[in-house]
Amino acid sequence: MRKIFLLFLLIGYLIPAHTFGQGFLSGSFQTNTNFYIRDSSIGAANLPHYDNYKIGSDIWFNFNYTNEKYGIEAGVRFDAYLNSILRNPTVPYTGVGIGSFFIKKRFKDFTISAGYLYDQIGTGMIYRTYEERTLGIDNALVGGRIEYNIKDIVHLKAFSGLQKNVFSFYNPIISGFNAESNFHIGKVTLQPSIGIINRSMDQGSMTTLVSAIEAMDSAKRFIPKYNMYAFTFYNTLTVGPVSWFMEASYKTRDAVYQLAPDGSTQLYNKTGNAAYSSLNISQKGLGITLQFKRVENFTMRTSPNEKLFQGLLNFEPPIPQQNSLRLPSRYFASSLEQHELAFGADVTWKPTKKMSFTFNGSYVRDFLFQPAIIREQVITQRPGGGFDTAQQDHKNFFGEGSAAVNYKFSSAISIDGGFQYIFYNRPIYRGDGGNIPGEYKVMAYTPFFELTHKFNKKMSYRVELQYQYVPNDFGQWLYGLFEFNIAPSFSFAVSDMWNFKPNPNNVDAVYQTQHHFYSVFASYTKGANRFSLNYVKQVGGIVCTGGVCRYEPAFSGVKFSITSTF
Amino acid sequence: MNKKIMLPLILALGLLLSQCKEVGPYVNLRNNVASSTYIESPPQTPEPRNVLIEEITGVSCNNCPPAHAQLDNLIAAGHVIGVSYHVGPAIFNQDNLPPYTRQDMTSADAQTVVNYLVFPGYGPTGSVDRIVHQNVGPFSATSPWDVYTNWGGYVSTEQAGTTPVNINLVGSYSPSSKQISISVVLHYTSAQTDSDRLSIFLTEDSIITAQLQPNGSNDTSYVHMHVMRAAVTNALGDNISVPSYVAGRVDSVGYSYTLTPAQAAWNPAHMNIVAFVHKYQNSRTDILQAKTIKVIP
Repeated sequence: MRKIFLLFLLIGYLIPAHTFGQGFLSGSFQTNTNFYIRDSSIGAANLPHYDNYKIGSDIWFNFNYTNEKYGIEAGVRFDAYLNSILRNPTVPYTGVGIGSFFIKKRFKDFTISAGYLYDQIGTGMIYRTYEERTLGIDNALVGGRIEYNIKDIVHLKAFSGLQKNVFSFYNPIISGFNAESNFHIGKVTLQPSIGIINRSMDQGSMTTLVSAIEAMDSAKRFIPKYNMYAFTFYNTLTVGPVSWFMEASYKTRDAVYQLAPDGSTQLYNKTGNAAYSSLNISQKGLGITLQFKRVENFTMRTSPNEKLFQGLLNFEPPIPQQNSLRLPSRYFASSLEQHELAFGADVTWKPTKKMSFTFNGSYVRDFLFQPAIIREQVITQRPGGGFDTAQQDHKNFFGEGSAAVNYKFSSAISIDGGFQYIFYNRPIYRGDGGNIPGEYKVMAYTPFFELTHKFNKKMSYRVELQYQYVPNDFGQWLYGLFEFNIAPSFSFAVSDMWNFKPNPNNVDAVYQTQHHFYSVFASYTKGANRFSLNYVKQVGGIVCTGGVCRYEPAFSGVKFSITSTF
Repeated sequence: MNKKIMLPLILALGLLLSQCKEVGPYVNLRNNVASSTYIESPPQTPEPRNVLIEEITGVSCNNCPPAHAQLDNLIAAGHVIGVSYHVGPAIFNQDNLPPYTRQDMTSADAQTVVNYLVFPGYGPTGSVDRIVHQNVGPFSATSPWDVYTNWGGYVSTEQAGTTPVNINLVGSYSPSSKQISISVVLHYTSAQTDSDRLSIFLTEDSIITAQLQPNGSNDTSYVHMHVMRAAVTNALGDNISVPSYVAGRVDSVGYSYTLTPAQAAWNPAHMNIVAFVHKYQNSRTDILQAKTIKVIP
């Protein structure tokens, strides 16, 4: 990688010096530092960062140059992960280096780019490279890309490279092609587009895969493919206030890890397909969004040897809404790769200037006419001896219904209130079936309330109150937050999430008793610089960002962060 | 302009797709160490039909001893081979041991077989040649499992048939290396329309450990027979990879299995090699022929 970086420096050196005089420089700096305070009562212990290291930081420094006259863009980013728990919340990682660099040059209708490239085809169903810092995701493609624009009607794009793996690469080669178009026929707009991805596995990854296949029962062995191809077609049809998007994708036979009928994870050689559609209708005072998604065996990775967020090639858009409030956001259905049939509906209605209503519903389930991927063995004793067993299918994965109202008493005072119901399948999203029979299903009932009051031009406060009844998981929660803001510089907040009536059968024994999860927060903003300090106690569990979720252990400590742009 | 671009694009895509066929990596699809095949003429005469009874049992299953006795009686009558799978839910297997238990007789391979044949949720039960016979009572009409009182009738029916494949089974044991060497030669006596599999299991007799009895007592010195220890092939069998399943087809295959320190309790002097040829496709699970020999003759 150092050689590549030196090559870029050389290119920069060869570009005439006056070129730099025409452009402008921009950049950003971000650092998050965690001070870990051991608290075994909430499970924030027995991990290296609590027991040994005590401190960890993540630093990103981004520096970009743009020259509109010469059509040149270039950038470089320095990354430092110091006892970082971003990539793996239980195993701190340390590494320092150039996390990203790129150079882009436009020649009239052509654009060429090289370096670390972030891109997407359609919704990302077959290909998406992006950075999600809070989850440690950065799957840039390190390679080259060429784009050709035909009269702003057709946009062609081809690229090839290796996927970034922190400061090195995954060796399988990723290549792709994308053709997007944009037509207007009267009041109708059409945007039919296609995309193709090829993943060519390297010999090292294939050798690892073959070893895994040969360790399997011979009845289930297969000859894997080096090459996987994925195709997608998508289109947006817009007529007046109605906009309909659809995408259909297919991938060729590929080795993928999936849930087997006995509950284990096994390798299979399968084709995959996925479809996604959304319909938006917007009129004055009314907005309606309907969504549908079907996914079958659509795992897209650099190789099946990579797990969790490693080697991800795509992003499957989740249907359920992403909540920002603390308790309503505790249960979220991230997209599933093996079987998923998902429906969603959002309605926003604003009958008056002061009042608006939001209704949301989503439902995620297994396929109707195929064997269930999640089955529970139920054993019942027979009177007088003996037993009976039965397999109970769990085809309902997730359901959500919520209603909320926003009312503005004046320009200074507004309230939000609502209620949310969640149905959540533990084994499919969390990998456990609970401690006692019946805990496969988690049902959560959550009323919430928020008050915002600006009592002068500079000062305001905000109050959040939430309650959650979730007997099959944590029992009962209360959450309260008070935030005080002095614009434009200061913000202070205190909050507590109190598990006041815990579930005595919680799978995590430390949460079988009452706990308070406090937070005290302060931030100072000056221009484009923001400094924040936060004392946090956070419950362990699934954390979701941007529709992507993972398990994170409990947190106890102080978080300090700086964000600057220039 | 668009046509000028789109035509080469479509041609390029077509060219790309036409090049998709690839030579895959080498994957050993069988567990064997050596194999050879040829066609003999004339084909061998079919040998007597041996029937395999696979029994789901458990040390905590108080109704199981009568099924053990029935299996022993059928074996004693001749041309019947038994394999006992100690598997099942927690109240049935080693997870719920009776007092004075000395050995764990469960096996992951046995569990794999039972999962494949779909555990009926009732015990004791057994499968006769993995064929769905006339099932009644708690069993589904598609299950090969049935109560032990029905096994005798099914055995008679099976023994009246003719085997399409003869099995020549030879084994040896090296005490120094603790290696069991197995040679199997299959002689097809009639043609088969679909492919077959070969399964080789190791079983052990005369294991003395506790067993709950029908009267609720605990026999602490119960003698367990035909206990499935491990599969030498894959638990669900290895494909018999021959060019064709014609009468006269001979397939020789060799295997070895080394006892590990974790298997120190296994007594080779009491162990058996059980080999059987069976179906594994088109919804067929039936066993065509079975053979057993002692590990140490």
